[in-house]
Amino acid sequence: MPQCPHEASCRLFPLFSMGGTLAVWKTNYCCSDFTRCARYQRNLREAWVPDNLLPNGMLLKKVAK
Amino acid sequence: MTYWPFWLCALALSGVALLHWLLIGRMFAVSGRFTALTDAIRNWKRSADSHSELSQAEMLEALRAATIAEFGLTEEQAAQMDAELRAQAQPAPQRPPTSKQSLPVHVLFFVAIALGAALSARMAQGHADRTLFFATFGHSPILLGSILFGGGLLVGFGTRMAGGCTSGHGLCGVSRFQPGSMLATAAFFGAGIVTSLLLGALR
Repeated sequence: MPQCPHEASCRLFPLFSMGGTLAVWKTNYCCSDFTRCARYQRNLREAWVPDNLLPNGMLLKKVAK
Repeated sequence: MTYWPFWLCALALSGVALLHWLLIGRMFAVSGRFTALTDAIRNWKRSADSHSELSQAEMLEALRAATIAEFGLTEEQAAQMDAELRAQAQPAPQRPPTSKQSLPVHVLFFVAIALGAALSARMAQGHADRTLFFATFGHSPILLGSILFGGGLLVGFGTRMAGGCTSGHGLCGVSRFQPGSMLATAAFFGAGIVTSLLLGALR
């Protein structure tokens, strides 16, 4: 199974590795076609990747209560 | 002209590299640190737009909501997956803490280098031989400044291409028997010797 080569530096990978609901990201991006991950693509262009950038390209925002 | 004893220089250099590793947990590498400094400056403003204002709990909550939205999960499915996780009670993978240092630490590092160089130059007054440098390039401050600036740019370009400089490759890499570092160090010093001989011949 391919694994994203950027997993060591990705700030979200440890969260996806916690399991539960969040593991779906790991299954669908980190351990499958990681080249379509927005974080991976961003990291190819520049070293800095926003912590709140999701693999699908959306930006994570605080949940309104 | 009197140089400092070679053994004193060797002890000082290795002491600095060892202390850096012991205190900070990272290899002593000036060019690597400079890269980290420029990255820190570049990312300074950007980090304000990141999730840094979110706490860990808020981050996880937002991430969970985004997961449900992205993959079309129902709240029940998500709750079941999280319950299974709790039942398995697998600890999250631990990784060693990354020594992500802040901008002031990088700045302090280079201020310390400048202070050390100034102290060294002061102690070496009357001993250091700069005749070859001045004989080759003259005494014009503008010309000397331009040459030093150009030399600095070339050093920066070269160290980025080589993946390290004399401290990273020469001090730390060679002491760890890294083949690439040995080759890089041989290239550094080889080029230095050839340049010095050429300048001497042109004089």
